[in-house]
Amino acid sequence: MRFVSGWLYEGDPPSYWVPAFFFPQGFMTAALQFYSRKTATPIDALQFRANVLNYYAEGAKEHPESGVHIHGLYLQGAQWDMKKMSVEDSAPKEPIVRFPVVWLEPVPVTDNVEAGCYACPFYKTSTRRGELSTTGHSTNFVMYLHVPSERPSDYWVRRGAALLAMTDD
Amino acid sequence: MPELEKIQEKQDENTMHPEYRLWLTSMPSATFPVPVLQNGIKLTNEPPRGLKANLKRTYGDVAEEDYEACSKPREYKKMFFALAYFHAAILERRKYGAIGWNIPYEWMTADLETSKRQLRMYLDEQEMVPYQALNYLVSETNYGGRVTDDKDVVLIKAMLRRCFCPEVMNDAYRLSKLDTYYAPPECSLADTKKYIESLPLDEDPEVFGLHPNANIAYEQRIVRDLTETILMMQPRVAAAGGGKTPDELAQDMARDIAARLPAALDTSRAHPTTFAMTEGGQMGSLGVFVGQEIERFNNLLKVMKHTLDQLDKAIAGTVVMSSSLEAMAGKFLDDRVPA
Repeated sequence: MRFVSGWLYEGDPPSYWVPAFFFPQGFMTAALQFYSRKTATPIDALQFRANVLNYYAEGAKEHPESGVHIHGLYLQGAQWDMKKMSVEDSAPKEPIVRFPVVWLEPVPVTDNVEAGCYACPFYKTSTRRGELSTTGHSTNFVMYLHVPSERPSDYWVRRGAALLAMTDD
Repeated sequence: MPELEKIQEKQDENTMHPEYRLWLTSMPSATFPVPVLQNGIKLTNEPPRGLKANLKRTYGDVAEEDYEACSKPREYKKMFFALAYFHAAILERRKYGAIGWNIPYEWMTADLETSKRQLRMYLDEQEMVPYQALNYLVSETNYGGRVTDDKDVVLIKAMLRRCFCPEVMNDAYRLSKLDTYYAPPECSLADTKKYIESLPLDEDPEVFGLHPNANIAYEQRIVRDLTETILMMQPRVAAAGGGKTPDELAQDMARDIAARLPAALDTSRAHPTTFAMTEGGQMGSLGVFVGQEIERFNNLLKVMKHTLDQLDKAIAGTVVMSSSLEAMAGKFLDDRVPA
């Protein structure tokens, strides 16, 4: 609430707090469309590359040159290693950790954004399962974020690693 | 079924044979006569819990001549163990909740049985082991037929790839990160069972490819179930003497929350850049989006304000208490977020 009113009364924030949104999928499409109009590229020819940045929400000060910054995500079943800048196994007793700011950068669909990455599903809540709504969007699943990983994808798939917009507590 | 009930009613203890016993087996049935149930000793057969118990059951159902009959005994035995392990692992993963599977599926022995037969057929008929075909058949057709969530499809394929791969023929290959679980070297059925017997009773989440932290999720779930049961037994009627009644408490909370609700967002006071128009005279996409979000927020606030107000009045007795309002008051008393 405070986030949305801040956006309304004070203008675009440098980084968007995704958990504030009812419909994050809409936000992603809007952000892509914004870029698509600015550069006059068809939106179908664009996709997001997820660049995980080396700072958390407090560090976000500026707008990226293209696309958007998002924050407020949590990583369940794995953790983010700031030194290696990749997904690593969780530390004991830390099943859920904060995820850094992500710069969603619009790139042409012909770019390979998946190489060396784990296609990490991003859900709104830890329930994960959702129903398909009439708009063709899931009520829980938002999108896949391709995050750098040294291990094969299968490893993280079996780990059940996923990004969540909110924790249980 | 009613016929059965009549027969059972007519029986007379004094005239029947002293050794007379009636054995009945039944699947869960809504028409099963209650009196029959009440007069009997009940036994239920539930699928085994735990990976070891599951493997034991799978191997308990295997006939010796079947086990030895395949034309590629080594490949068959190895692959069959991998299949049994896969079957047990995906079933056991369900206990971890959402981190295991998005939706808990009801896989059955029939899935295993079909996969087993296909495995045998493919091995008998082909010269090589068709790993790719088997992977597809088992993870997408047999087991995958039940999987409705697309992210779970990705998972089940990844699970099976670990079991159905050429490496499994290597005796040193491990089915998980742990050293304990592997497809035993080619041996008799009895020896395989002996190996299963040697497995630990309690398994590490690592068996399913999960991080040991997954156990935390599992334990939290159990605790939540337990506390929920305790909460259900919480008395709703206040004890006599002193203090506020539950009704008064709920009313206080409703008023308190209503007073703290923020005012609706006012789009007319927006920052100039928020709804900035593009050169073409269109509103920016993000502006449209934030506008929609604000609308939803304002709707939510309106609904909250309205229901809180209704609850206040319902407790006071000026409007009719509905079941949803009552449920909300109950949640207030438990200090939980209403659904």
